[in-house]
Amino acid sequence: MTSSKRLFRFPRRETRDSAKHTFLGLTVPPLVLYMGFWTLFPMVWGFLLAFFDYSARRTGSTFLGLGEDNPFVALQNFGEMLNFAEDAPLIVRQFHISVKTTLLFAFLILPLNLLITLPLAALIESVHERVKGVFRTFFFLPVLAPSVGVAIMWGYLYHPQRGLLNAIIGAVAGKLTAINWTGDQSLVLMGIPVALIAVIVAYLWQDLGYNLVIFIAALQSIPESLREAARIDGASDWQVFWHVTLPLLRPTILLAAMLTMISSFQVFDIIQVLTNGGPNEQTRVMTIDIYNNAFRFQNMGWASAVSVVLFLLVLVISLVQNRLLKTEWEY
Amino acid sequence: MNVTTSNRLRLSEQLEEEPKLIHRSRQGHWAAYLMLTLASVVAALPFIWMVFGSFKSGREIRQVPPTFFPEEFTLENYQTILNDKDLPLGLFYRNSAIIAFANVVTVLFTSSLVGYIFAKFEFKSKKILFWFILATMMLPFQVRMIPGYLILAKLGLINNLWGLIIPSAVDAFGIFLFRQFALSVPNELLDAARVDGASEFRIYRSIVLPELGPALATFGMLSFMFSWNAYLWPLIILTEQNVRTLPIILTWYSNQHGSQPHLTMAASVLVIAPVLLVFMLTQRWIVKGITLTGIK
Amino acid sequence: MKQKLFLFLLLTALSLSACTGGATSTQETGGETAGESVTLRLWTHQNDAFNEGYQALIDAYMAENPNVKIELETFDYDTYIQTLQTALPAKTEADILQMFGSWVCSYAEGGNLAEVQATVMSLQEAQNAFFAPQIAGYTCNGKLYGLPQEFNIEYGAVLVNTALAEETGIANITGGWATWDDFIADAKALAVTQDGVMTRAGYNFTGSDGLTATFYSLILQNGGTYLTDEGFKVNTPEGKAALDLLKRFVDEGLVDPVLFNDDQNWVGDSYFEETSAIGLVGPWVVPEYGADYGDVLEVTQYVPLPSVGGNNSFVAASGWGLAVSVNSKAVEAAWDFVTYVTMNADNSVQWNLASGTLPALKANATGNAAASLTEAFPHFGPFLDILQYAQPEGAFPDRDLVWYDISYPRLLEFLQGNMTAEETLETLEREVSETLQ
Repeated sequence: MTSSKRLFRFPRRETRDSAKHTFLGLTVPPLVLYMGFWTLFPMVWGFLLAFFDYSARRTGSTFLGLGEDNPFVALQNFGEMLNFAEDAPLIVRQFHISVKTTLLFAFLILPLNLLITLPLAALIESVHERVKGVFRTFFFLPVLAPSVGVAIMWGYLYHPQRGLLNAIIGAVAGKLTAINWTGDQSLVLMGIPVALIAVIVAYLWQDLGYNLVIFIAALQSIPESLREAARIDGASDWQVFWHVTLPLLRPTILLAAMLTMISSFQVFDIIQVLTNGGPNEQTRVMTIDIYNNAFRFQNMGWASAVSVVLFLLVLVISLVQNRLLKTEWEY
Repeated sequence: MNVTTSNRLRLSEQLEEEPKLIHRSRQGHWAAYLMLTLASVVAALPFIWMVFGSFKSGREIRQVPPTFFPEEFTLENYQTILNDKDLPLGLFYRNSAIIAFANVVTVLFTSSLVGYIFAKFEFKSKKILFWFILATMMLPFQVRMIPGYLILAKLGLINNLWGLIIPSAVDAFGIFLFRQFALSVPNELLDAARVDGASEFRIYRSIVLPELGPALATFGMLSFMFSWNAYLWPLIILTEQNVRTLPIILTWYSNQHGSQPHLTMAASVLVIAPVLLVFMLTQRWIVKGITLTGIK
Repeated sequence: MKQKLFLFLLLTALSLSACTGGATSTQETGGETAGESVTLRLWTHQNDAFNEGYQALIDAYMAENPNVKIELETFDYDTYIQTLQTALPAKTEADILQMFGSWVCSYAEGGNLAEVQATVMSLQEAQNAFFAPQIAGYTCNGKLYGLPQEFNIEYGAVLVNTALAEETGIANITGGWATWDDFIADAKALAVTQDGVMTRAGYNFTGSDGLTATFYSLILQNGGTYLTDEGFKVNTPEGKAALDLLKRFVDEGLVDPVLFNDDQNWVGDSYFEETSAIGLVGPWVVPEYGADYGDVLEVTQYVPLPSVGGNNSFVAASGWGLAVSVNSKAVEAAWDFVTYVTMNADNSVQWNLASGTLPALKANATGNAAASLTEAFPHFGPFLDILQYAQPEGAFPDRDLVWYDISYPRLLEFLQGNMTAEETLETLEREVSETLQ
């Protein structure tokens, strides 16, 4: 079939193709340019910055302000991050603290979140249809509150003298209590600073709603017949949950778990408002480290290097997530 | 540049169907109700504490140990805030609303259009582009934050509402989401329209958009919420008072020189309440949207 | 390093002269003489008393110069710091910027601030006119980058609640204390503890400004210095003596540093809420809290603190003042307003009266001006007497980093019992030295 023949026999398709071409020509290139400028460009720039001693306070060369007064330092930023000496510069020790705190935060959030949301979802799923909606809405509300507002709210719950938490403890203990939940660095529970736990509780409170709603939906998608069959075989409620429901929920749980973790790596608002990384940097996570270095001390080269490390951590988690999910879906 | 839709990805379509369940009413449910009610009380306490606090006088809120119910119920805190000439609350509401509205409109337009193109068209470099969009979803916002700020500074868009609108106009997650939805639009429908001589833009407008209706509604509302609540990016970009948005002004009454907890609580109520109200009115859509998309 | 610094200064100087040239030329084509209207923006931090003072001067100035329009824009304190840091590199700042003296040099070195032109005032004149610690902050590498309005003081005298003292049975607390022992005895008596929880601090000195000012002042009073030719040194007998006294305040039960610090029960709040009987905080809190806490203010007096061995030296930061952006399109008009506010003795004291601050101009610390200040603010009396003992804090490239992110947390950690004196001094010295490199 020659092209001339085709042209002759299918005139419609040809004009259609050119119409499609025009359509794509009008939409795709602008999109590529737009994303190139607002996404790819800052991304590349961000990685570049990590290899410079850059501050927006200095002018530098005409190329993105890199070079000259903002000299290229190659891997020096990353090299310094590996300085684990006790007398390493403050900025390096703060980075170490922030990585440790971020990991601690993320790996505590995950199990706590699942331990609360899974049973709660099952519980909500077990009550009457009408009430179910009410409870679901209710536990979802905090998700929608601005996290700054959440932090302020919890700040007043935790206040040593005026806070509700100490008032309750005081009423139970029958004496005045003034524990400084977010500001006493000597309070440590099983090696975890209490201030960090306080932040985690506030974060959990706000974050639970997502997984809760997702798990409720997943539970609803499990055919009742499966559970009924198990029950007929004499399984108890607990056994049904453990041996039937939970295995069916596994893919959902795995996905939700990884997403919870990845987003907890990027926590900022609650911590900045509630403790601003204190006391004595016990709640200093990487995003606080990045923000302070970049915008308080205008040390943007170093901050970019820290953000690259944050990216690598999230990347590793994402890869693990992909791996786990793939095996799940292939069985 | 959108902080709002970071990488909580879609949960698979398996969750879309909400099968009607045969409801079993069995004994022992009272325990479930009791536990849920207790959990609700605990979950509600922070809200309640804040709302009660907003009705206490400055003196009462500083009492040690604190009161739970306001002893002298007062509306003074709200009056103070609404009449504070240094705190033009109306202006902040307006800024938040403009940004949120613009974000929603632009993101819905670009996401649906581009998502549709990725779902239904073949073109060179499509794979690479799509891979790139997926990759940007994985990238923590912090990596782009500093250069993003520097770009806006160069363009003179710091302290300009456009600085929050323009970079957020295209959202990788939105594109990804709408591609998934657009895949299910029947090809026959599109081809039939083409045979009738409809232009491609017309097909997008009259056939694809209506098909994506429910997704547009939920994603639009979620975008609105996230934009309304955004903190970090506006904190960096909007530093002048007349362009600030609501979440940033929450710390207005608790600055270094004198904290006024009663006013902060009332301000928090004023900022949080509208969001919750909107949610109450539209919660069915939103919750459905979350389950559909797993968005965060 | 030195070469780079030189190059940098050269560039800064060049860019400054370029800008000055630009400003002059605008002046020529259409300056005030031509009556062309000029709009100046003024940025300040949010403090009602301060800003009412500015507004009054702005109104007066605009009445005298109808072609000049000045717009005042305010930010809450934390936001203002961030705003300056981000807006200056982005060049979106206002023409006139309210500055805390200790911030000035980092911005001046970044090339963001305009140098005070010789026609406005020479450095020598400025040093004669203003108190040394105040003008010091505005002087960077021998050049002047702004003019101070107030004498910032965070040490030397303390807020005393005389009603509580009377209740506790302390006679003549306003007479002052001859020794630290006397002071500690009174403060201890004023502290209240219930169920092991401190409900009222006897002496709240653990806010960031107060604690750091106390520490560095005590080093001076013990005869030491912390900025030496060999760099920053606090791991010295004088540093140890300073820490020992601070620790004694805590050990004797004057304050619980876990419950009373910057994050919780900050001294200004706490004093006026009467959860602290004696508070170490500058006199600027009085107008800020006075309106809301009139009854506490009525029984409040500032009383001078005792000193170590009769040495009254104390450190003072350079206080609030005004600087002009190098990017301003009307630099001359801006300086004209700045000098109107800061150097005109009458206007300057008027602002001090409105804001409840101590004068930065030496001339206003005596005579009629001082009399009108003490009449309006009786609590100024003790301060006006000690201004002469104030020493500049010294030049730190990033003073706030040294004060608030290193000194304060370390000292607080020490007082909370999480660090020994030796560790504290050693850490402080190392971490502050790092910032000087």
